[in-house]
Amino acid sequence: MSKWTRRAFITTGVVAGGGVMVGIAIRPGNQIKDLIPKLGIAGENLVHTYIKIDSDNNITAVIPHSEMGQGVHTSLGQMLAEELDADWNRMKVEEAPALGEYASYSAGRRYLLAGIEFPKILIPTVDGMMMRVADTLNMQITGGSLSVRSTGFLAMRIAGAATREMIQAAAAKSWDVPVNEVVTENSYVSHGPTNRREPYATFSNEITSMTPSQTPVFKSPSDYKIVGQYVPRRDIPAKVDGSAKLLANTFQGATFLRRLMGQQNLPRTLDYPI
Amino acid sequence: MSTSFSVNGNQRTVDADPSKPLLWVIREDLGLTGTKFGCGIAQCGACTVQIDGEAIRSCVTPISAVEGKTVTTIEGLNQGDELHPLQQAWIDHQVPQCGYCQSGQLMSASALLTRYPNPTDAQIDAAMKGNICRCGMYGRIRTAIKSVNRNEVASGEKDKLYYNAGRLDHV
Repeated sequence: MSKWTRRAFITTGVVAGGGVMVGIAIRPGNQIKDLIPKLGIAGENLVHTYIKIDSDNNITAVIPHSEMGQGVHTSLGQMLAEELDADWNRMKVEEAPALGEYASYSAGRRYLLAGIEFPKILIPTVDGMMMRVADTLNMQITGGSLSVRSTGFLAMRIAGAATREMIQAAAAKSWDVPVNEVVTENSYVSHGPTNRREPYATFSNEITSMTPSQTPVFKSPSDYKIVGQYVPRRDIPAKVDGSAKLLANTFQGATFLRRLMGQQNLPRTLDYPI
Repeated sequence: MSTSFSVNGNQRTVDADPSKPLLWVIREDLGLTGTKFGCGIAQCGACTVQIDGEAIRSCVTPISAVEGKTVTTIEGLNQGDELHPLQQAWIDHQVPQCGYCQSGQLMSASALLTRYPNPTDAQIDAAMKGNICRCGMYGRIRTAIKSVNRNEVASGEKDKLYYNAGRLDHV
């Protein structure tokens, strides 16, 4: 096209405008309302896809990968807690259910679109698109170094930092103070000049209706207190008293294994009538 | 046919085929799923429990063999609300990775400590060689067993022990 005709200009405008509209529609927005009925939350507030806060200010990180001894429940919990400014010693971790909301969407920006620098304004759209792709493909994967490198860096840190920003905004509004004066530490939010301090739980109801950012401001690594520290693995206590729920416990053990191994020439030990 | 025996201090009666392996009675009839199925032919140790204090492979032990005996599984290793010292050592030394073999490892190790409170390397090898760990946590298992009655886990040294687990002899 050598020069803009009126028709071409209008057409381009409509396409671009439509693109912006689709781009906005595809952004993740607030996923909490759809998720709460699926999770059956009781006694806690789901404040972000990956974060629950109870009335005693205990915070739970919901980890979308399986713990197989690689320590991922602990390491991803640390990454989330770091950006959330949470009290690690009072923080719990639990495994996410197999739901589209917990699909491995961050692999999109980490691997599929690796090396592409998106302008900040496009990131929610890109992430939203990848959430749909991952959900459609039922892509909830633990493997390929995905957990720390993509979910950790591009989902858990985002969840932690975005939730911290929502808590700061809610506190600033409630106290009628500038948000940049509101400080967070160890699951508490405070404002020095007016000497106010509240647990995160105080604002957990309020922030459930907010839309979490996909582009929050991260901490500088030099300010890290939890990431980079040796902490005991959270999955170990359940593995020394037999209470850990391993895959074999989710099947009707013997029946399943007999069928699985029936092809092989195993001795009679498994071949008893139930 | 019904078989009566004690499990973790409770008297239980199970109506099952006398040839049914103790492992599946424990897991299915009694619902104690801490004990794991590994190979089914007494070659891996994942199913280890104790009968009258002796470590045995429950996958090849027919239920008829435990009539009137005392069975202890991983769920009965702790003492009330207190962890067994080995369980605490397992946590202190961050022993398990995937955790699948660990119930069996702990049942073999506790039988060992009952017999030899301060076992030598050779005694540990002899008692633990039937328990396979595919994650390869043998070094930490040995360090944890040794620590129990030797007070080796000084609280300030836990990090050092953790990072050097399995190589303590050379520290």
